[in-house]
Amino acid sequence: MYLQLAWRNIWRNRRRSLITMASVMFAVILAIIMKSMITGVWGKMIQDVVSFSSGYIQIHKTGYWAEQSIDNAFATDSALIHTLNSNKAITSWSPRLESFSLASVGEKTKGVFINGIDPDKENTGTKLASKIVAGNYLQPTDRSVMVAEGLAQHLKLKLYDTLILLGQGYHGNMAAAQFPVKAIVHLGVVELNQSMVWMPLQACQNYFTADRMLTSVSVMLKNNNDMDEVKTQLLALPLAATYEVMNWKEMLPELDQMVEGDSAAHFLVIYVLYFVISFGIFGTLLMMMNERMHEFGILLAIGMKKHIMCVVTVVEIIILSMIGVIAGTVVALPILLYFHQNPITFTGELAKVYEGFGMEAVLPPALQPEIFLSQAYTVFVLVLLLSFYPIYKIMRLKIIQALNS
Amino acid sequence: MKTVIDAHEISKVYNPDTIPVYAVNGVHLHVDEGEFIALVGPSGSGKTTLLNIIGGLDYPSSGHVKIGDVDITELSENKLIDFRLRNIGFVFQAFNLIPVLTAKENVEFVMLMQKKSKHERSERSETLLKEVGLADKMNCRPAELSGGQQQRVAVARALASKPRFVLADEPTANLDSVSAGNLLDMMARLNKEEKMTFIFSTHDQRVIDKARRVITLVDGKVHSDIKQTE
Repeated sequence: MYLQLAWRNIWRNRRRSLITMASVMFAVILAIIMKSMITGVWGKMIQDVVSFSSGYIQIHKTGYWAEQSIDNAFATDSALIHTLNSNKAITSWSPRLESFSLASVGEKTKGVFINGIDPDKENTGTKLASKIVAGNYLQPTDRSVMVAEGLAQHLKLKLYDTLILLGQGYHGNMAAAQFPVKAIVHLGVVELNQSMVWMPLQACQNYFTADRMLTSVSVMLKNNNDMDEVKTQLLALPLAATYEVMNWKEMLPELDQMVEGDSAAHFLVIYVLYFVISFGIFGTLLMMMNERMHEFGILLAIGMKKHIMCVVTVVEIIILSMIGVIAGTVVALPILLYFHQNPITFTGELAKVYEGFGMEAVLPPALQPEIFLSQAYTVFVLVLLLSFYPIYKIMRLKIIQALNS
Repeated sequence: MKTVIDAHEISKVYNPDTIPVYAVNGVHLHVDEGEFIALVGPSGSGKTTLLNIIGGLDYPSSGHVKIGDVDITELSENKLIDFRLRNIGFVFQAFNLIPVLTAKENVEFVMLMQKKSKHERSERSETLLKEVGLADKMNCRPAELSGGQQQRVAVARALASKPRFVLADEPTANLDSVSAGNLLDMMARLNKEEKMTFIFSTHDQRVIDKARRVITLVDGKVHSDIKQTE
């Protein structure tokens, strides 16, 4: 009957209860949408930047990151390859042999960054083929290169022209070769667009005289949240002492700091939102308590214990907020599903700014269940905290004052 | 005759440190089982305060109130709530039923707090509502009942816990004369047939006429205590 009493009390002032539920509902909708957009945008940004540069995780020979020289290349072992192929959290992995060389065409010369890749594996992770503006994507057995658009313009290179490369190979070997240009690739990040050259891994290993050697293995994951677990698993391999396993946060600390800073600012906005909501709910609680002070006095007079009165009142508040939380979640879900299917896409100058950072100019909301659960949970905890007010009032209730109110 | 209430030298003083105001001043009250008492007096004479003190709703500034063998002025707030639940029935001027519960549920509610079984609650509430003439209104909420009917439910609720006595603060003040008359007849019958002790604070002459003992308070003191025959 106590539950029945709580339930009926909610509906005795239907309008007030509906307003309270609506305020909780809108709060939850706003909080979920905001959190989902922030998480989604940053997730996409991280995915775009990370997938095109470092990958979520990279494996190198110990010391490579501090001294990024081809002399710090390493040969993979079968246990590592087996783990990379069998781990379900890993969507793809890509071996790379990276170093610098001088590129020359006619009278023009420029320092370039050579990236030896497994074309198929690289494309799975970075979608490199989609960035080609002229020519065709590399095949594993090709002895040709793809050149970034800005670099091609600088060197006045066209498709099928010959690019001469000269550099230092593995352990002091001379690296010199000429390659036809098979494709021109556009990159959003200006710096990379003016310096990148890709060639098939085997051709690259031959060029640098680094047979079967790699400087890094870039690992792509299904979910950023799996990163620490995968890293731990890789570090548990027998030869792990000779590798260094780094996540993107360690390799791109500026990006991590930017995400953290921006997230903190957005969370501040969300907490301001919670604060406003709290006042709305608190106002309702104040009204409810003032309206029912006399009734509480009667209940005390006829023998209702204060702690039972507190339980009934808190149950009322919980039911009210639960309905609001559930309604908010139910309303937010289709909105986010719609925007997940049809993400907001920027055009014009803003789109160029995004592309300049190597990101797609879209705002896809994230749909992880924890976003919904955490917001609902937060509002619920907030309501529970606010319910200390009625508890405090009831516990301090003086029966005669209540009866006379 | 069993003693139900024994109040000794009770006083209630407000502002004791500045300008003391005595709401009740040195009152002695002895009530036996089965009495039907009207507490009368002008406004501000201390009727409600006295009723609150002997009902355990308020503590006296001095003096003691014994209900049966228990000195309720010595009980903690929690124990006093429990004591009220098991020993004292209340009828208020404004009925004060729980608006979201039906008549039957209002009566059952007190027994629920006494942790009585569902069967016992249901049976007793039906019996009591029949006794107060509301057999056909059991499932009505207070808003669907007239003032007189609501006050009858309040009486049934007061009796539900099988109290030692019922305190009624101006129970007829909000009722029309017919409803007030019916209510009084019903309470007089319960007093006679079930030896239920009733103490009213009232201004209503009809209640005073029905009472077998009339205690008049003036300025917080017992001015007269008269037994009268029906």
